[in-house]
Formats: sequence, structure tokens, C-alpha cells
Amino acid sequence: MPVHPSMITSSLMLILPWPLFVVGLVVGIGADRHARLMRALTMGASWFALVCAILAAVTYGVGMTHSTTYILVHLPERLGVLAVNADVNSLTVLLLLLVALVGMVVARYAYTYLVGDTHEGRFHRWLSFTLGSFLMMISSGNMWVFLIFWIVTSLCLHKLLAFYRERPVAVLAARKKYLLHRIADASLLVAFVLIAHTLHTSQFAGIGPALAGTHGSLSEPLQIASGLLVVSAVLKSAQFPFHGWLIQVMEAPTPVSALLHAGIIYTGAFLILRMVPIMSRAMWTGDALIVMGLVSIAAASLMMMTTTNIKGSLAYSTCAQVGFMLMECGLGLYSLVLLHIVSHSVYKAHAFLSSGSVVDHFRVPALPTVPRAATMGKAIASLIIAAPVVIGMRLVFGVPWLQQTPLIVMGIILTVAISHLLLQALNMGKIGMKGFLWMMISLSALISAAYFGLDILFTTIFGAMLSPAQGSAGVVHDGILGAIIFVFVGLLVVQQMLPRILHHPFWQAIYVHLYNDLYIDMFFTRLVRKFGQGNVAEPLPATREDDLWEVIS
Amino acid sequence: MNVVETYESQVMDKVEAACQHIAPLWPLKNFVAVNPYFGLSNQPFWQAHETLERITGTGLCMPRAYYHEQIARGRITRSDLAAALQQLGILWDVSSFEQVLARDTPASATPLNLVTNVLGGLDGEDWSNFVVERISRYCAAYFDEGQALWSMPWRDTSLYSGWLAFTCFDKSPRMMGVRGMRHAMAALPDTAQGAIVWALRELDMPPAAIDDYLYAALLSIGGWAGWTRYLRWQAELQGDHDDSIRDLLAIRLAWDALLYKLCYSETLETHWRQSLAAVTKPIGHTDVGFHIDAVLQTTFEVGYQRQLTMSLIGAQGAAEHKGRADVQAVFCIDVRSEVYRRALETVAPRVQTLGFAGFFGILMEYLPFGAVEAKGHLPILFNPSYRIGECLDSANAWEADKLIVQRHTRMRVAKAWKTFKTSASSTFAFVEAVGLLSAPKLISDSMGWTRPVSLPERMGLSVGVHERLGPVLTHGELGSKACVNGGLTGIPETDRPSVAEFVLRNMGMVRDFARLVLFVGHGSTTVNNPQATGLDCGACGGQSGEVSARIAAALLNDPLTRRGLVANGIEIPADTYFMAGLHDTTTDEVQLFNTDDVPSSHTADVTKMHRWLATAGQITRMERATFLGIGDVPIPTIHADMRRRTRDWAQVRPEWALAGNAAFIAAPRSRTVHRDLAGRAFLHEYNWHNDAHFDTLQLIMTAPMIVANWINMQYYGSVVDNHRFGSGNKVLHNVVGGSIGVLEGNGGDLRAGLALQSLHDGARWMHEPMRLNVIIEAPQRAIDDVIARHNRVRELVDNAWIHLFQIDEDGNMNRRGIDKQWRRN
Repeated sequence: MPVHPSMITSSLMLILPWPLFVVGLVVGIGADRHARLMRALTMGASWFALVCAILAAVTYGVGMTHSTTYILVHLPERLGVLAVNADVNSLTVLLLLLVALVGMVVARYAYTYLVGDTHEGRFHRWLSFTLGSFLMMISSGNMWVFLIFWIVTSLCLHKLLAFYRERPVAVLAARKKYLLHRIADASLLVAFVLIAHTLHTSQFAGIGPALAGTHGSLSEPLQIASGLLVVSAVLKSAQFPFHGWLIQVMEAPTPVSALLHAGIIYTGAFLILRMVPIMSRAMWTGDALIVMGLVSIAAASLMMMTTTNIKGSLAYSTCAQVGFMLMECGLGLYSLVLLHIVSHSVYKAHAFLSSGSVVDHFRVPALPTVPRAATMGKAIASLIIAAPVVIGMRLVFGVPWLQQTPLIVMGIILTVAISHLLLQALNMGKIGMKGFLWMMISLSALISAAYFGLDILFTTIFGAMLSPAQGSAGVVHDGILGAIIFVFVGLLVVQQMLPRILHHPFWQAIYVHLYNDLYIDMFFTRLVRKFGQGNVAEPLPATREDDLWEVIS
Repeated sequence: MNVVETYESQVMDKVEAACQHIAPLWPLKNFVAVNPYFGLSNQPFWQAHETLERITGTGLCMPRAYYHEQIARGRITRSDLAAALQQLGILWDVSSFEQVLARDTPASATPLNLVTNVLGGLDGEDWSNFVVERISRYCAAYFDEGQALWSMPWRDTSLYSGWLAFTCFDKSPRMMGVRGMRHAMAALPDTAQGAIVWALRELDMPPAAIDDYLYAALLSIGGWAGWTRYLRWQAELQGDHDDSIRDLLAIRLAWDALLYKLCYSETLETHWRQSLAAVTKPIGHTDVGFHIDAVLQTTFEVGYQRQLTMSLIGAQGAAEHKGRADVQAVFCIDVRSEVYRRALETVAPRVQTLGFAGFFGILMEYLPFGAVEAKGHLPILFNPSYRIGECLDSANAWEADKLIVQRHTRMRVAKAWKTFKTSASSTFAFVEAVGLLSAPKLISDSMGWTRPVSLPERMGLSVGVHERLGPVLTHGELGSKACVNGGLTGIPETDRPSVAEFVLRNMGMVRDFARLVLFVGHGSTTVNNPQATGLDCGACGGQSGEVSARIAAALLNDPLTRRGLVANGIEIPADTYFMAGLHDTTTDEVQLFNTDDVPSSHTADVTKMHRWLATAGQITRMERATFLGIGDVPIPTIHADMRRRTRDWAQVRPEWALAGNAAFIAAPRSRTVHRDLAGRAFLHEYNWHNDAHFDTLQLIMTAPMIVANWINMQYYGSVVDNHRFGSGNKVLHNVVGGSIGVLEGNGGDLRAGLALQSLHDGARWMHEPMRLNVIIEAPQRAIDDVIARHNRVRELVDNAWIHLFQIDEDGNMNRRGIDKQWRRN
């Protein structure tokens, strides 16, 4: 096949993960015996992926957007084709860049972090393999290849999550994830079959054009398919009440948590983004996503507030953040979802990798205490100050708002966030509060400016591809939008009023239940343990002394 | 007194005893070394071994395989074996011991079973872990220092009362299939004492089993027990009392009793009785395995003692230095200083080095610039006498005030920003608006160009300001803003001569002062390391020794001090200048402070000193490189690698810290100079001829020696029983409660001690578990006298927690036997 310059981007995207595969599959045999080699090669391969991703972004930027297919297998039963090709578009290029960057940082971290571990080589093997297949999944333009690497990534990740096989909790968490992901796989498989059958295409790029001819609501099989896509996405995103395993994966080394929280956990949201042509036309699935996301936001945020260990706190926060992304998916704000994925990925990767630094915050010199008085009135005052700041910035940036209800909702969420910042000043006593308040107001203005600026930037770049959903309407939808506002204002009020309601028996009970993860995970644990007793995939936990001695021998 | 009351008071005595068995656990912000066997030192070493083996299943020895490996490597020799057999008074000869050893297969010791263990053995559920998890979660919430935004509502009640309230709402037992918890809890007494007595009754505990059971119950939740023991320690230092540890014990026992009641079956009762019978069964002291363990461990230690004796013997005695040394440099007794001191003396033979605890004898607390609360900057055994404030170098009060206000504001903004970042209602908007800023930070932290979090001591300060700050000796009030409730700081002029005399006499520096005297504190440089303060100076309360060194130098440069000292018989020559430095133990670079203030008469000395220090650092790094696995690379690469370690956020082995420590030597440096002690010895300067009433000897044996023993035992415990007295795998560390401690992974008990990565390089242990070998050059009578007068010292020596040797005038080593007699070694 002649290589045309316009295909360079596509080729770069496809060769980018191969060194990682080679390290994982070939060099990785007997990895523990050549750990040094493994760590060097993993780092090299992840650098290669990053360099390719940067080059691909550049070549894409200059307009080399032609895609090319390398292997083509026709599938029976009208399932379309299985083809190895890359979807060259702004979404895949950006995400490849993101994941390659985080992957490099994680590999670099693991390079020193795991030195001396009994199974150091094995760790790098599965890290390479996981990263490689995840990158392959992102760039894939064919649904069947996507599905294959969707499954492979999950299986490889399983090896990393259960890296310390002698730790019962690690094995248990990995097993919970394993079961949920297999349901997600099945659901995705059926969805893809339905889509391929109905639309006669197995390429992501073919979905939009195939649907372009139709108007009105989707056909029944596609309605079902979009429902199944939602199921897959929600299960992949560790949403409440299936979030338990996500919280427990600190039983695996820190870089695994970072990779998971900064990349793989967005698989569900990424799937929705790839399926925008379908999703944006299936109204009820949007509402379902909002509800699922919102429940996770509320539950995980409240649980996070009670968590006492740093990694648990970060994990709950991820659960809520992914819920937020799904909610945005449901609202049809796809370019905002992309912005959220990118921002949250780098933020959470950094937060996890630097979680050991939390102690430094407690070593700083003690400040003079300032009397604080948190009242409901102040919460209202903060909202009143925040609203004009947000509205003003919105006008400055010329973001249309009254026309679109989802944007109004987002504006309110931003207002609530900013009022929380203002409350930091308002809750102080009168002394020193005034200067501080002005500082916080200016900070709020900056934050709003950044928010709308990025909003516009992402809409401009990705809007064409991720065009927002047609406005949904109806009482149910309005009710759901109301619920969003209720949840966010509710979170603000609960946090503001905590010192006062803390000792009320009702809130005491709420506290205990939240701190215990609402018992849901305990329930799943027992379920999985019973279920798993028959087919133990991993050796049973050895005693702890043995694990110590394994290090020595 | 009636029978019931007698029983209760007896139980309470036992409870107290069990609580005293637990060693305190310091928080991560002052992660100082603690002897995990601190509470067992009233038992002879080998009895403690038995106690622990009976209760936890792991005693004070390594697994047999370890010793077999040492025999194979030649680290344990037959002649050492003979010496050990003789020392222990065991009747085997070497060959019969070898036969016994070959035949013996060590029986795996069974730990004492709590009710939860028995229950778990019956129904297959891991009840012990369940209960530990429940208690650990509860404690984390109760003691949380600020990680959770929603704090637990019962923090103002006692630990036990809070638990009663908490557990009434807790549905976890119900999820595990236990019904009727709430109802059963109604039977619990209101007080912790009552609960303990109640639980013991419910369990029908025979009096003979109580002691062991209580200790086992506390050890099952040993991390939090250590934390509550720390709270008691701090309270007692303040003349107060704290009973959280007793409450914790009550909670653990209540769980046992509640589960026993709620999961009752006849099988359970039978098994439980059997388990109790095993506890109360008298122990056979003639166990062969026990003797083998004792012999092997002792032989292991004898081997090192032989090596040490050989390197010390024949050293010249307390010969006087020929003429005045160019420089005297006082280092911390820390074993890491030994390597550096040796290198420095090789580079500059006219530099005399001394060893003294890194707080340089000044009992102080430190008030950082603009802070309102002082932090102890002294060994954890003491209370501070003075408060030293950090001030700006210029006397410009206006500028200082401005900077303090600036610091406060910046820290408040940082705090508000952090709240905005993490709060439930604002974190989403935060991510979308500014989350992308993490991208450059992620890259620069990964490359080691920046630090994930700014250094705590530089928080809120502009670039360049920190270099202008320093501790101030002047007595008085700090600037108006600085001391919101700071009170007086500095050392009053009238006290200075006596403080200085205390410092100098105990250092053994009373005459022959060099032109330049350096006080070199030490600290480490690491990032993203939750246990970083464990690498800093323990004598400074787990902080860098910089401040103590600087204040000591300032004190002795002070003309008023010097004038006062003359009256006390110490004359510091007018041309002697004191300076402070800091030894970075990660890179082995030594930095000197206040170099601008050096009088012109001494600039040449300082310039020369800088050169020596740089070369000594080079030599030290080469020696250490071998242990870091970079011994075969070029010298500049070694230096670059060590510097990289200080900035690498993924580095789990920045330095080996005190791994390998094995000896404490209190003698004149002339005994040890030019002897390669391989960075394994604490060196304390001591010349008994200058110690008229043996006051200094007493101080050495009651403070630095105890501290060395604590460090030694921390390493010992972390190696022999990392599960209980160490903190496991560092890559799983999860900081809990703000800065209380670490969990390993998702949950479980709070972890104490050192991580495996601090002890093991992946191929071998970097620390050999051995009791500390204390070597003192002083008359035997004087040593005996201190032992007789101090209970803590007597316990350590007589119960063989340390090996004590004396060096006599002729340089011979004498050992103090268990029979309290001195024998030539």
C-alpha cells in the first residue's frame, strides 16, 4: 500500500502502542528474571508512545487526517468488518496524547517505585500491556477491534489490581471488578451487534452518516443498543452502587491507582463520546445517564467527606467526578465532558502519585486561629455574591446561556462552587475578612474566566465532532434538571451547616452510614466471596509472614 | 473491701500492666524511632522472646532459614558458636549443637487465640480482620487530624463512649449476618473499666489467662494501641493523664464478648474453652527449639562483637592531641555521621571531630516565623526549657511584620484554595476551570524539576526570604505580630553561662578549643515520603538539626556567655569562632550557615573548611554508593544520582538511614579514629578524666544510650516481625488521619515502625537484627554505679536488651555478664 503523507497521522496512531505490546507479550515472558530490562523497556516504550502521540497531534494539526486500513476481515451474519484502522479525529488524537502522557509519567514513576519487589518484572509487563491495549482501544476506528481491546485492557488491568495475590482484599476487589466488567463486555457486545445489524457499519465513523438520513426518534434496536451502551458505560465507570472495587484498589501499588484513576476509568465516558451520533438522539438514555451520574455524585461526595485516609478520599472523589462526566454526557454537553476527562486525568494522576506528600501539609507552621461562624445566611449571601460574578463573566465571554437549559444548570453548578470559595472568607469573623473577601472575589472572577474560556475553546475545537444533543424537553427532564440543582446546593448547605448539625441524632446516623460506605460494598463482598468460592482463580491468601519471606527468598 | 471490688481492682492492675507493655507510636510529622519492646524491658530478653512467641507466634528471633543462610555465608562461625554457648551457659558443645540443629525442625508457633480467631476458625469468616477493621476505622475517625471534611460527632467524648454511640448506629455486623447487636450493646457498662470487667466475665476468663489475653487483645490492634500510648506519653510529659489506651482495650474486649454472645453455639464454647486451656497451660522452659534460637541469635551477635573488638583493640588510649587542632567539628551521634567523620579526618588530619546528640544540649522548642505554636526541638524524653523564635536577619521590625502578614495571608489563601479543590460542591467546577494546570505540574514533578508540595518550612514565604530567617538567641518578645500568643523567646542572659557550660562539659570540650568550632546537625532531603521525618534527627524530635546547631553556635559566640563561662572554669579563647552546619544525610553534603557573619580573621579558615567538607562528602558518597547499588559508576554520576534521589517522588529508598546500626561507643575519639566502623556505630565523645562526678556518664547512659537502644530496637523489631512492628510494603502506604500514620493498602490496623523498603534492597536485608553493643570507656565502678541508680538502665543491662562492654585504660574490652560481673572479652 503506498504511504501517502496524509496518512502519517493514522500510521503514527497505529504504531504507537506496538513497542508496549512487544514488551508486554514477548519480552515479558519470565519477566521477574530480568526486571532491570523490563523496567527500562517499559519506560522506553511509553516514551515512544508519547513521542508518537505528540507527532500525531502535530500532523493532525497540519491537516493529515486521512485514515488507512491495514487488516480487513469480513465477518459473517452481517456483522460488518473487523478492520485495523485508526479513527483520525480531534477526540482520539487528544485522548491518545493524554493517555500517552499519563502513561509515561506512570511508567517513569514505577521505574523507581517498584525496584526490589519480588515481582517487579511482572509488574512492568502488565503495565506495558495494559497501557498498550488501552491506547489501541482509543485509536481504534473499528467497533470490533475496539471491543477486543476494551476486554483486553480490562483483563490486563486485573493482573495489576491483583498484583499482590497474597493480599485477600486486593484479590477480592479485583474479582469484583472482574465480574462487573464481564457484564459490561456482554452488554457492549450486544449493543455493537445491534448497531452493526441496523446501520450496516462496524466503523465508528460510519454511524453518523448512516443515521444522517433518518429523522425523528431512533429505531427500536438502536434504542436498545443505546440503553446497553449506557449499562456498559456505567459499569465501567464504577458508579454507585458498583463503586466498591474502585475504592479498594489501593491494595495495588500507587502507580496502578494513578493509571486507573487518570485513564482507564474514563472508558465508559469515552464510549459515550464515540457514540455521540446515537446517544444524542436517544433522549431517555440521556436522562438515565444524568440520574446514574447524579446519584454517584451525591453518594460518593458525601462518603468522601467522611473518609479519613488520603487514597480513599481520592478514590471517592474520582467516583463522583466520573459521575459528573456521565451527567454531562446525559446533558449532551460532550465537549465539556472531554474537557473534564483531560483536566481530571492530569489532576488525579498528580494527586495519587503525590499522595505521600499530604503529611507536609500538616507540618506547616501553625496559623493564628480565626473565629469562624458558619450560618445559613452566609451561604445565601455567598450565592448572591457569586451569581453576578458568574453571570458577568459569562457575558464577557459571550457564552449563550438562556437559550440552553443544560448551560444554565452548569452555570448554577459553577456559582455554587464559587460561593464555596467565598464562604471561606465570609465564615471568618469580621477581623481580616474584608481584604480576604476581595481576594476571594477576584479569584472567583479568574476561575469563572478560565471556566468559560476553556468552554469556548473546547466547543470551538471539538464542537463539530461532538455536537451537543438536541434539547430534551418534558416534565421528567425538567424534574431531573431540578434534581441536579438540588443536589449541588444541598451539598453546599450540608457542608456549610456541618458544625451545627453534627450532633443531631439524625445526622449522626447519616454520618455512620456514610462512613461505612452505606454497607453496599460489604454486601457485594459477601456476595462475591460466596460466588467466588467455587472457582478460585488466584491461590488462596498465604499468611502475612509468608509474604514477607517471599521478598527475601 | 468486698470480693467483687478486689477482683475489679486486680483486673484494673492487669489492664494497666497490659497498657504499659505497648510502645508509643509517634505521628508522621515527628516520626521518631521507638523501641517496640519498650514495655517488655522489665522482662529478661529471652523471656520477652517467649512471651511474644506465645502471644503473637513471632518472638525476637529471625526464622531459622535466616541463620542457616548466615552459617552458609560464614557470617556465623564455629568459634563464635562456642563463645555463644559458653556465654549462655548451655551445656552443649559445638558439634552436639550442630547435631541438634540439624535434627530440629522448628515447630510453627501458634499465637494466642482471641474469641474472633476461634470464631473465624469455625465458620470461615475472617472475624479478626473484621473487628480490627471496624476498630481501625473508628479510631481513624475519632483521632483524625483533618483529612475528613465531615468530622466524627463524638470526638469530644471519651474513646469508649464515642464507640458506644458509633456502634449503636453501625449496621456492619448486621451485614455480616450478626443480628441483635444493638440489643446486646444495651448490656454494656458505661465506663471502659466496667466494660473490661464485664467482657472478662462474659468470656468466663480464668484469672491466670487474663494477663496474656489483655496483651494479645491490645497487640491485635497494635498500631492504634501505640497511638493511644503516645497520647498518654504526651499527657504524662505535661503532668497529665490520658486513658484512651484503656478505652481501646475495652472496645477490643467488648467486640470479643459481643460476638461470643451473638454467635454463641456449643461448638464455639467448646473450642473457646480449649483455646483458654492452652493459654493457662504452664510453659515448658526446656524447649529445645527455644535454646537453639537463643544460641543462634547470640552467635550472630558474638560474630559482630568479635569483629568490633578486633577493630578497636590496640587503639591508642585517651592520648592528648598534639597541639591545637585547626578545627573541631561536633556531629550528631547518629551512625550516618561516623562515615562522614572518618572521611573528614582522612581529608584533613588536623580536624578533630566529636560526637554528641544532635540537639547539642539545648532543650528548646521552636517557633517558626509567624507561627503561633511552638514545636518541640529536643529528644522526646525531655520537656523544653526555652522557646526559640525564628526571625528575620535584619532588625527591621516593620519588614518582619509585613512578611508575617504576607505569610499568614498566603497560607490562608492556600488553605481556602485546597478546600475549594476538595470540597464536595466545588471540586467539579475546580477540575473544569483549573484542573489543566496540573498538567505542567505533573510533568515537572515527574522530571524532578519541582517538589509536589512546597517545603513546610518555606510555606508562604517569597523566594529568598527563607535564607534570611534564622533562630534568635536574644531574649524578649518577638515582633508584635509574630507573637500573637508566642510569649517570650530566646535564652535569658543570666541563664546563658550555665546552659553553655552544660553543653560544653557534656561534649567534653572544656579546654583546647580550636580556632573554628563547627556544630553540624543533620537532616535528610526527600520528597513525597510519608515517613520522611523518620530520616531526620531523632534528637531534635524528628526534624532537621539545623536550628539546634545554629542556636548552640550563637550561644557560644555570645560575649556574655563567654564572660560567664570563665567564672565556671571554662575559658574560650578570643580567637575561637563557633559555626553551625547541616549534614544532608541523603547527599552527604554539608552546608554552613551564616557565612556572611564570619569575622574577617576567620574567613581563611572557613574557606579551607568548605574545601575539606566538599572532599569529605565525595569520599562518603563513594562509600555509601555501594549500598545504594551504584558503586560501580563514575564519581560525578554517583553525586548526580544521590541528588536525583532527593527530588524523585517515586523514590522509596532515598537513603539507608540507620540501617546496620549495631554499636554505641562512648569514648574519646582517639579510640576510634581511623577505624572503619562501617557506619554501624553511634559515637559519643566521652573522656572520663574530665568528668569529676561522673555526671556526664550518667547523662550518657540515661539519655543517648537509651535513644540508641530505641533506634536499634526499632530496626530489630521491624526486621524480625515486620507485620506487627514494621510498616510493611511502602508502595501500598496510605496516609491516614492527616498525619497520624500509614495504613498498608486499603485498611487494617495503623502501621508502626519501618517499611520493608527501608530494611531490604530486594535481594538482602540491609540491617542485621542485633541487640545494641554498648562500649563505654570509664571505670567499671562508675558504670555499675549508674546502673544501680537508674531503673531504666538497669533493666536494659540486666535483662540483656543490650550488651555492655567497658574499655579499660589499656584498651582492653571487658564484658558485663548476666551475673553482673565484668570479664575480659
